[in-house]
This record gives sequence, C-alpha cells and structure tokens, in this order.
Amino acid sequence: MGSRSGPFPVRPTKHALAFAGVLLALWYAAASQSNAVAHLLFFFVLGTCAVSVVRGWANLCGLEIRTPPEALGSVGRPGRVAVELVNRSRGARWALEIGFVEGGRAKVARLDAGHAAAVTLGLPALPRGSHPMRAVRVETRFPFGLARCVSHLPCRLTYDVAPEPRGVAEFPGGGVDAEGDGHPAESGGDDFSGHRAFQAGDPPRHLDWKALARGGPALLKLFTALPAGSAVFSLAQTPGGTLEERLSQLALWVDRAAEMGSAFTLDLGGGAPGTGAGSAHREECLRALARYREGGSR
Amino acid sequence: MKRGGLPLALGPMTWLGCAIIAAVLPQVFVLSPAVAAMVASMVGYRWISARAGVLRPPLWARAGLLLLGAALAAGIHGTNLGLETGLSAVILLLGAKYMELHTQREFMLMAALTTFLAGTTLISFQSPAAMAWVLFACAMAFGAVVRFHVEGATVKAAMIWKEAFGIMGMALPVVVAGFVFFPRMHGGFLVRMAGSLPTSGMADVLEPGTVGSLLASSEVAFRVDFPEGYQPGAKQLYWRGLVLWECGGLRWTRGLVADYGQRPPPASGPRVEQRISLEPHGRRWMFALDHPVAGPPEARFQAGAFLENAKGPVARPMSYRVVSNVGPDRSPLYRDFEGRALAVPAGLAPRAREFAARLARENAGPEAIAAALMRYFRGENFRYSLDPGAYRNDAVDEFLFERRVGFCEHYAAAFATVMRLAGVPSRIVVGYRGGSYSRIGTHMVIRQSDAHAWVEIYGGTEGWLRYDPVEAIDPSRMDSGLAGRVLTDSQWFEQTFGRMGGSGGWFGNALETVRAAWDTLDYQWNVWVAGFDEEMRVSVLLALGLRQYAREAGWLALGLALAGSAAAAYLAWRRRASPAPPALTAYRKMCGRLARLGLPKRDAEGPEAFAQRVQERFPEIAPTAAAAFADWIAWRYGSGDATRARVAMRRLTRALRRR
Repeated sequence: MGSRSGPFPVRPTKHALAFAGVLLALWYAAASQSNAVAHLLFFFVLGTCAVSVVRGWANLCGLEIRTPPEALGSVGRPGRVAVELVNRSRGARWALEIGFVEGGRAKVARLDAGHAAAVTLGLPALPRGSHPMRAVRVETRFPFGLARCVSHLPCRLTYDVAPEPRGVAEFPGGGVDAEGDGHPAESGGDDFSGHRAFQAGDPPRHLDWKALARGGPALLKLFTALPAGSAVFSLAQTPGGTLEERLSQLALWVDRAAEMGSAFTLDLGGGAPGTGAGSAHREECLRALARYREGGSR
Repeated sequence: MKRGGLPLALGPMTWLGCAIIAAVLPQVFVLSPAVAAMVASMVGYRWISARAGVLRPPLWARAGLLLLGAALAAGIHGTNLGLETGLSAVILLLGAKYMELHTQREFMLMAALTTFLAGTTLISFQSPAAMAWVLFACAMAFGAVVRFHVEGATVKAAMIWKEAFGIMGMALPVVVAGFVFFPRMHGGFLVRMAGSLPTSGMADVLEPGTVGSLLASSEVAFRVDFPEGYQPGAKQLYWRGLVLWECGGLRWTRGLVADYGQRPPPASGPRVEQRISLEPHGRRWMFALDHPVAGPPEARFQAGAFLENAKGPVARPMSYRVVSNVGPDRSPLYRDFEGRALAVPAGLAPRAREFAARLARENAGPEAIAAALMRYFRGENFRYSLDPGAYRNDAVDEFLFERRVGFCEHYAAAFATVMRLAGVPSRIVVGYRGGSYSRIGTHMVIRQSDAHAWVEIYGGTEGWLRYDPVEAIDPSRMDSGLAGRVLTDSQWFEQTFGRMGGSGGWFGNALETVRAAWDTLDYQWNVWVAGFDEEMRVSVLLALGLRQYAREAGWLALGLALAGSAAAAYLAWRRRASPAPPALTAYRKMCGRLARLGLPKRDAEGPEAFAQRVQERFPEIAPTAAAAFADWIAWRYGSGDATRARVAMRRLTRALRRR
C-alpha cells in the first residue's frame, strides 16, 4: 500500500503560517484602531483562506484512476505502472500530484472536465510477494497552498514483487565461455555475461573497446551460452541457501535466459508457467516467483 | 511547482508584482508618491530582468535601490519613528525583497504580506471605494498564489480572477457573520497613525476666513436621516457645532469650558430625532440640529448646549442618534458665566462702543437692540463677499463703518461684539446651515460648503435667541464672485457636464443621479459598516433577543457561517460526475462494435495500443481508424476538439458496421 499522510485528509502547510500571521496582524490593527472596515477585511481574508481549503478539497472530487490489473517489480528495483487519471466531474481540476509513493509521483497541472491524463507512477519498495494495491494517493495544494488535501482513489492493482535476481551467472549445467579455449560458444544463444581483466593472450575481438576508449581499464567481455538441453529451471537446480536466495537465483536465470531470447521453462511445481520465450514469458515467470510460497503452489 | 532554489516562473512573478503595486498605490495619498514610485520601480526592474531570463538582478543594483529607498524614507520622515515611518519601511523592504525573490517560501510569504499591505490602506481611508480597491489588491495577491500553484498548465488570466473572486465570494457568509456578530476587542493599545487624523471642517477658532475657506469644498461633513419622519423646515436647519464665548473682535475663541455630562439644557420646540453619520473631522464636537437634548452615551453636553465626544477626536466615521428640540435654549445664564458672555477686550473698537451705547439708549431690551442692529445691517449697504479683503482681528470698526463687506464670520463676530458692548450677553455658534436632500436616498447631506456661524443673545426668560445677521443682507448685494465660488455639487456637476448632453443636459442629470446613488451608498456604508461598533453589535443582538449570549453568539455565528460557506463552496466546486461527454459515449459505442466483431478492448490497454490492433485486424479501414483514434486521443489527453473526436469515432463505427 502506498504512503498515507495520516488520518486527516486535509493538513495545513507551512505557508498557512504566513497567512495566519497576516490574519493576526490584521486583527490586531483593526482592534487597536477600533477600525470597523479593517475588521471587515480581517473577516474577508479569514473567510477566503477557510474557503480556499474547501476549494482544494473539492478539486479532488470526481477523479478516477484506471490501472492495469497487474504490475511487476522486483526486490530492490520497484516497478513502475502506467495509469490514467480521469476527471469525471464537470469542472477542471488543477495542480494534482498523484502516486503510490513519495518518490514516484506524477504531476498533472491541469485536467479538464471529461479528460484523462496518462502518467507513469513508481511503485513502492516491498518484499517479495504479491501485494494488492487498493488506492492511489492524489493530493493538491490548489488554490492557495494553505492546505494539502489528500484523497485516496480506489484501484485494483496486483503488484507482484519478484525476488532480486542474484546468484551465480552460470546456468545449471552450462559454463562461461571466453576463458577456457579463448573462444565464445558458437551457438546462437551466446550472450554477454560480464567482464574480467584483460590478460595477455586473450582474444582482442572480445576486448571491451568502448570501455577502453572512455579511458577505463582493458576488460575482456565474457559470453555465456544457454546449454541446449537444460532449459528448465527449478528450485532443485539452485545451489542452495534460503528459499529467498534460491528464488533469487531462479530470477537471475530467468532474466538472463529471456535476454538471450532462448526458450526456457520455469518449474516451480504445480501450475508452472510452462515453456516459452521473450519478455512476456519472463514476466509470467517472475510473477510466478513473486507469488511462490513454500508448500503452496504459487 | 517550483521548489526552493529554482527560479520562479514569470507568470506568478507578474501577478505578485502587480498585486504589490496595487496594494501600495493608495499610499500615494498618505505617505508620499515617491515611496510608491520607488516600489513600482523596484518591482518593474525585477520583472524586466526576470523577463530577460536573469535569475535575479546583481547585488549592486538591489543594494543600490534599497539604499535609495532608505534615503528617500529618511528624507520624508526624518527621525519621526511613527506608524507612517514603519509603513514606509515595510513597503520599501517588500519592494526590495521582490527584487531577489526566488523560492517558493519567499513567494508565499510575500503574497501574504501583500494582503496585509493592502489592508493598511484602511488605516487612512474607510470609504467603500477604498475597501473595493483593497479587495481588488487582495484578489490580485490571491491570484498570484493561484497562478503559482497552477504553473505548468495553460491558464488564462480570466480563470485566475474567477478563482480568486469566486473564493472571496464564497467567503461572504463568514464576512457578514463575523463582522456583525463577533465580539469586538477594543484597542487603544497601539500607536495611531500620526498624520492621519483628519482635520477637515471647522476649527475651534473663528476668524476672518475660517468659514470662507470651507465654502469651496464639496466634501461631506455629515449625513442625517430622520427616523421618526419629522422633516424640519429650512429655517430650522441650523446644525450646532460648538459655541465660542471669548470675544477678540473679529476673532472669537472657545474660552468658557464647562462639561455638563449627560444633563441636557432645557429647550423648547418640536422634538426631532436624527440619525447622524459623521465623517471624521479630527475634532471632538458632534453636530446636531439646534438644540440637542439627548445624545448617545459617548456624547457630553458642553457650556453652550452643544455635544462633545467623550472618546476623543472623531478620527473615523461615526454614527449616532441624537434628539433635538428645535426651539431656543432656555438654559439660565449663571452669574459666573455672565461676565464671560459680556466680556470685550478693553480698547477694542471705540466707534462700535459708541454705536452700541446709542443702540442701548434708543432701544429697550435685548431683542429690540438686536432688531435695531439687524436693521442697521440691512440699511447700510452691507455686502456679502467671499473676497472681502484682509481684516485685522480687531478690525470691528473697519468692518462696521468703513468697508462693510464680509462673510458670515465677519457678520457674526461684529454682531455679537456689538451686542456685548450694548450690555447684552452673546455668544457665537459655529456649525452648518441647510443641507440638501439626496436625490434617491432618504437622508440629507451636509457639506463643508454649508459651514456657517451665527449669534445667540441672552434674552432673559426667553433663553438664548438665535440671530443670523447674514439674513439681513439683501441677496442682490451678494458678491457676483460668490456664486462662482460657492457652488453646490449639483451646480458644479451641471456646469461641468451639463452642456455635454446638449440643451437638455441629460449627461449632467445622469451624472447627478450617479453621484446621488454614490452618496447614498457612502452614507449607508458609513452607518452600517464603517460605523459598526460594539454598541451596534449589541443592538443587533438585542433586536434578535440574544443580548445575554453576546459572546457565544459571535462564535456560534462564525462557526455556522464557516460551515455554511464550506458546504456551499464544496457543493459548488466538486461538480459531480456528469453524464459521459458525447465523445466518450461515441468511443464506447465503437468499442462495443469492435467487441461484437471479436476484437474487445483489453483491460488497461491504452488507446494507442488498441488502435494498432484495430488497424492490424481490419487493414481495409486502417486509415479511418488511425484518423479517428488520433482525433480521439487529441481530445481525451490533450486540448483537441471534442466534436471532432466524436464525429471521427462515429465515422469509424459506421465503417466497422459496413464492412
């Protein structure tokens, strides 16, 4: 769930202090001079400031949020989601800030009646799992900035947080090429997997020329290949450790395999995502990893 | 929204700059036009440099202008550390701050200070026009804040004004409830504006030129209505101000001071109740129809049957009720006072002494002597003129026997002096005579040009009898220059504008009506707003039967008004969901058609992605689909035309139906 500002949907800002000071000064001047017209102005400014807060609150009415049903992120790398903010009221809405979390807000300066704004919002950093996001926080300081009015627009978004991709780069049963015989694997599944310091005798075509040109050290690019016969990733193949560590290992393999464009299978038991390739399959697998619970199916 | 440290956008800067200038402008009449000009140049300089993309003007320019402002203020106010000096300093500092303004916090603080600065105008001016200007300046300051918060959006100035005035309008219930019901604190605990005490109207000295100097002024002295409906006749319209006892020839001063508190003098004649709305005149006396017998609680009767404000000089508009009996003042002349009422400086006016002695010999009794003196004025070719030339203060003889030309103060002073020399106690009353009915209001307006001085002589059991020596002058002997100088407002209007409307003078008439309407507004404003004090609040509570809950009623009314304003504002502005706009309905219909054709829109699928799928699935109508989606997206997510989007969607729906 996104950040909440506390139990009160309307909170004064520090700028309200300036106007409070002015009100006090106006009242003092009016009273000390027994000046009825100055009293009138005092109540004008008081009423205007009070009504402006209501104006800000009304500025949040009739807003709706449209989100996709699902969003994906991973531990340490929160996801982002494209949403639509719709103004279903008959009046324009102004100076809106919308978001699930502080750092991932979007600003909409003006939203006319019947219009929608497409914005991308950051999602919160949450532990691995499947998290229902039930509301998006929208706030405004319109019109005078004396109060921050907050509203939580209901939404139905399932936010899957996959494990952080971490572990050993090699695929189960595969190896890292470029060292050994000095030649990367010849298969079409070759992919870049990392760097190591360049040593005499290393093939110059695998030197990272770009890094060298930027003034960096001489580095050798390493390539790995997905072993043709072992494109099934399962918990049993992971090197061990806690469940989270093992899931992280699977996430790393899934990521890398998807980057290579190879077909692979993630086997978590139960209704596994099956075999596939490409980014859609990757997302499906990462979702399965996010939702995985020991003892349960997904 | 710009955060601290970033340059502010030009739009909000412009609004704030204009608000500062609007707030400072009325001070031109109070402080010095130079202060306002200085601030305007500071604001203008910063604005121009901001427009040229400069973050803020260089330090030497800012410091230079500030020092120049300080020198200016020192030049104007010197070492006088009054409220005006403080106000000048605040105004100049605000202008200087504007020159280096660049964070959000500074902007908001300055906007708040600008509303206060606008409010300081009301220290010196309390007219409806002043209030209107102050509200305008405040609306501009609020507008600056609104403009600041919508930065980044395309906005027109009209929208900003609408917001600012809309919010101020919604606050009206709070204004009314707070103003009428909320208890007033009484001050006196702060400095008053030193130079702002108005000193218009009459002084407490009558000498050649005192009244004459007022005659060219069409300023309102006070306004009156008669709540009981009694309309005094023209002969009764003598508005008593103060009474002068001390004779110095043509120069008279107050002299005798005796405070009778709330005890009115015995007076006769019909009773007239008046509701008077007095313009500030910087003196203590409170005008009333001759002779007041009952005044408001703060009024005290003085020797000479006139009223003085116990609270001090009248520095702001004041409303009060007073009852008068339009007959002679029947107060006895105490022995102590008799000497004062007969005193004439020794050696003053030897010819007048002889003349007075002759009058006293030839006529028996005060009234006969006075009548003989009136006859003298009527018969001896006395002239009435605003430009009688210079007289010395003791030049009674010169006036009576040589030049014989003067204005009401010459006549009154000479008449009263001669009466004293003839052994008849006399005094001079200074006030106003006449007045004119407002064309559309129910009240009378008394202007400075109605200023007058007349004489009262003591007639024994008859009491004090009024003599107006000017009445003895034949109107044909009024100086021709007078008519040109002593113009009523309506005459002035007619002269100035009457010809513009052709022979009928319709323009003059229209202007006169506008002026009369304005005058009525001014009067009602002074009675109900500028003069609304704690006493009036209590009167309102009394009328509502809430006197015993005076304090609670204030809070309750303010609370209710706040709630009412808030509810009304919320209902007005939330503008609940409307039926879907036609363009949206057309889009939904098109989506329905596609769903029936086996291509439903996916959840959370954006229109661009959907458009792509539609074009791939139905290549034969791809151009129509692309155009329709483009128009629709332009409307829905931007500022595209709604009709165009609707028409395009309908065209696409028809195309889908035909295939």
